[in-house]
Amino acid sequence: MNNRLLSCIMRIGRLMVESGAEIYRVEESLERVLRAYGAKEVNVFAITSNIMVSVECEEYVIKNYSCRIRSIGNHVERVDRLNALVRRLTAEAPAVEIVEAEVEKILSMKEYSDNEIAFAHGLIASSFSVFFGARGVEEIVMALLMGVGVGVCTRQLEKLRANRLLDRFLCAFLVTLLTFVFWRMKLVSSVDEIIIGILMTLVPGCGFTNALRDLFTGDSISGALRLIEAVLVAFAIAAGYVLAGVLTGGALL
Amino acid sequence: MSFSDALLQVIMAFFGTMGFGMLFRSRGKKLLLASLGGMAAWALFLLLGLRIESEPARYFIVSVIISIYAEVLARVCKTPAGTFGILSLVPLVPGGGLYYSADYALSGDMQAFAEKALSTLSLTAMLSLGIVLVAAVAKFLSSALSSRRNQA
Repeated sequence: MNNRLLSCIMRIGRLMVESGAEIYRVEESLERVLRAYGAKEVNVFAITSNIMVSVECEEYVIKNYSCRIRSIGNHVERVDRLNALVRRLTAEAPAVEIVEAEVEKILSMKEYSDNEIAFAHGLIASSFSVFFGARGVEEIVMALLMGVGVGVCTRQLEKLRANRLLDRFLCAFLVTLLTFVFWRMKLVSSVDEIIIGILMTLVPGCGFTNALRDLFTGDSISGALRLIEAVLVAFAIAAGYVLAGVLTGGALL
Repeated sequence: MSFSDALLQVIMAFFGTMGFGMLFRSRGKKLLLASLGGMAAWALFLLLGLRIESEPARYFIVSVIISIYAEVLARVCKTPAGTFGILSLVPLVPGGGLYYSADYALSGDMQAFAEKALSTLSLTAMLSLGIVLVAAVAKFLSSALSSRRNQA
């Protein structure tokens, strides 16, 4: 196994973690692929922030590779494609050029535009505000508009590589502040449903579920890391909400 | 809760899940299937409420059923089951729990805060327990089946 192939396979592993794949899936995939390419002994250890691989390619020829992972998102379609690619590599072990081309193809597939992502935030916010009991047209429209605003805001902050906690704090703060102001101006008659609906786009609900899933499947370190991250995000949102609430006297009335 | 309210919630569960599916960069047929799963999850939760009082118990049952749905779809579409499972359970994610916890903390009602925070946590735990249980059984079954096939 040459270095080029190893580096390409590691890239697949890295992309899987970054796209939000389960840790056990990443470890299993890397091990299978490396064995398919003739490795005698494979040791993979992955957590949400690092992957380490040690391969015995031939008798006593040992290679190590580790890569640091800084940001994790959710990219279901990419996990799907990578998973399919891993299956193919395990079955056929194609030449390294083909693997590289396949990885490039996965990276260059069609993405949602910024506008579509902003719309998705609005859709979540308005649907969940109705879900949690909003019935007035003003409330629903308000949730939709602010949801879109949150979508645009997080997207821009993401591009600026802003701290995720700061991002969540700011969004929760602004949303709560605006909602209370509108409520004071009597533009909307209730605040709870609007705020919950918009907060649903920020809440790390899936983060919690993923964390517990990793914990239960035995990847304790990854689970703990994800759990801490989710708890911090939840605190950031709560802090933004509380600060805005105190400033406007919202909940104190 | 009246029937029309329940119906409205179920429909909104569909659109809410679809929004999350888009955030998770899911597309086309898979996005639709995940959204239908989200709708089914909330409908099940409401239906079970007619018989079972305890929310954590309902969360667990719904989570198991939806995870089975996800495993089956994953086999059919040849994708990881997590894709559908996590998304379809989005309507059950206790976002309201977090909000009310923060609200009680803000108003200084620590007893209500602790109660709400704990119940939010236990609901999330039930949700993931169901997911993991089904995933473990599915993994065991598929490896048992494939080793048997290899022997034959």
